[in-house]
Amino acid sequence: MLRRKKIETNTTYHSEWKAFLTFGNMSALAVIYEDNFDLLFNYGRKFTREGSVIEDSIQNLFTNLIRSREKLGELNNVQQYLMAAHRNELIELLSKKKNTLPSEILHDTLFKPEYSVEEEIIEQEDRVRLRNFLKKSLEKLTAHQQEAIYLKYDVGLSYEEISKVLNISVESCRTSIYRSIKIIKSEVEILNQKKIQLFFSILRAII
Amino acid sequence: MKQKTKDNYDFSDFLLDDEFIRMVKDESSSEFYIAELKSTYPFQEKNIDMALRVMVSMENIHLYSTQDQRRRVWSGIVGSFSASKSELTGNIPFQFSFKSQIVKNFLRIAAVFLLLIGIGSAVFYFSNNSNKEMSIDSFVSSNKVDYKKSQLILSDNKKIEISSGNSRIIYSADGANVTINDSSSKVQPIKNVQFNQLIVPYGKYASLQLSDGTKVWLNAGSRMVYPPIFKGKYREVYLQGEGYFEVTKNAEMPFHVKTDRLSVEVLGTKFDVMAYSQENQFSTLLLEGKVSLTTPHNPKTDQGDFILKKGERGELQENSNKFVLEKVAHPENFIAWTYGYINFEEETLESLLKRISRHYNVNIQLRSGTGLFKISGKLDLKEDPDRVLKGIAVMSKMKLYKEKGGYLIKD
Repeated sequence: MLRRKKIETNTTYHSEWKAFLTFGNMSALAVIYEDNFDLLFNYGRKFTREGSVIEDSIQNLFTNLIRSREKLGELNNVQQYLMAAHRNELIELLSKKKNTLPSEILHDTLFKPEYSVEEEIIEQEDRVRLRNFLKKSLEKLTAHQQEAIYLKYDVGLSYEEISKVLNISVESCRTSIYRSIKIIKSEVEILNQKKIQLFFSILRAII
Repeated sequence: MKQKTKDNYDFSDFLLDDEFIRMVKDESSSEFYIAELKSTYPFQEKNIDMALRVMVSMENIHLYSTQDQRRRVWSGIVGSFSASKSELTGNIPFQFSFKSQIVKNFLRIAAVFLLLIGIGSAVFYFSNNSNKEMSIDSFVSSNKVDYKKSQLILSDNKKIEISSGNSRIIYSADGANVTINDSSSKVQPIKNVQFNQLIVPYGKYASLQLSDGTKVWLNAGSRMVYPPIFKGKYREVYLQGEGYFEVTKNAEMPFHVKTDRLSVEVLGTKFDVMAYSQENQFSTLLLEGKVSLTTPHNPKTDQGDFILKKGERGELQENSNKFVLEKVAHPENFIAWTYGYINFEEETLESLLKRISRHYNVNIQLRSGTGLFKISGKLDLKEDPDRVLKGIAVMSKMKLYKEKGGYLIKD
């Protein structure tokens, strides 16, 4: 079955955010920080495997929050705001590190999922084969599509939330997911056809 | 176009159904929801399973941060605001965030002083130790042991074979009573100077509680020599292999771990010692407190005493008596073996395979141009080696072959 993660993606943090916003309450901000560190860190790992860069980005993100507290407003969803800001910060840091590449190019090429393998150790042969096949199909998607897939099916965000993180419209978000799923569907269909062909060729050989 | 309902969904339609995704991702409802769905649309079971299968394949490796890591980053966040602290209210959840620079500096100096006093007394103890009756070193070198069997050797040279793969041995406070795996209990005479030994072959594990309460986990392929009860100026044990120590605090009697090439001295702390002589691998990783490292044959190395701080690892160079210091981001990963796991982060394939080979006592050959390629993850050591190695091969996109006398991994 699906592995469960201890990420709460449906907490709004409205009261914590308000306490931080209006009174500069650091304990409230610390709650938000503690609860979302893993979410941000793991999201960051899809852009770089260098932990220190991800930590720097989280640090800058929260430092900026404190610094520009008076300019910040109410938020509907604190988590998606943090993810979006972290994403921008991280891409900025990485583009600086790689010197020239403009942020826009990085947006499209950076996201690399690290599909988990833990289950394979305990799964049976045919399941492993299917899973590897699915993984390969997923890897055929563009980085952007893979990122949307990650946010939707792994993190579990809604289209509205994904659109906020990626700063694109809800509609293009929907389209991106829709296309990705259809690509996977056609890959699976090809696989099934191959299986049928194989079956018939074996049958023919026997007859 | 006909209206799509759950009756005529294919698996991809389930994946595009927001309600389906929301319910499946919700831990509290998912199992019930899936069972309900399958019983309402029994002919859709295959498609539902396929959709779930696709979702599983979309899952990514998930790392859990440690409190230390979060604390470190947080102190970087609040640390830069010490000047403008008047604007911010509320309790700071982590201790030292708002301490002034002066206090910090003072503490730093004080810590150095304490450290110096510690080292001073350590050197004193060390130099005072030469006139002991039978030293642990001569005992170790005069007693050859067979590494093939798990066994406990008591002071009257009685050998007790231990059959279980993961044994637990506890000494009473007077050292005379020994309990093995919570059941069988042995009594041994306590004379002046004698030593006990525990041998853990490859593929096995053991944990040990010494008479002073110190806990030791011994990894595969290890030997530890120790007195049933500690007497004299310090507590001294000998280790070959790998051991993780949680030393009971006793400032009067420092704890020494001696190995063939390095010695670790502590007052009370948590640390891991690797001393695989055959591979010439000697290192110590500190998880808590403070330790100092020396090399026994010339206690004063060129660098003097080598002090480790929390999260630091000191490794002895292969062909000189110099230590190399390394900061370890997730020290707890290195002792995951005490819980029956291997946690590895950005570890080279080569070094990971070495650990696995030691654990299962199998020969693993790596034939690849990319042995230095780094991987991260977690392995359950209770699984059989076939599955563990298969997982690694898949993860590193290599092929696994079973050969006579071992495994071969190549790309």
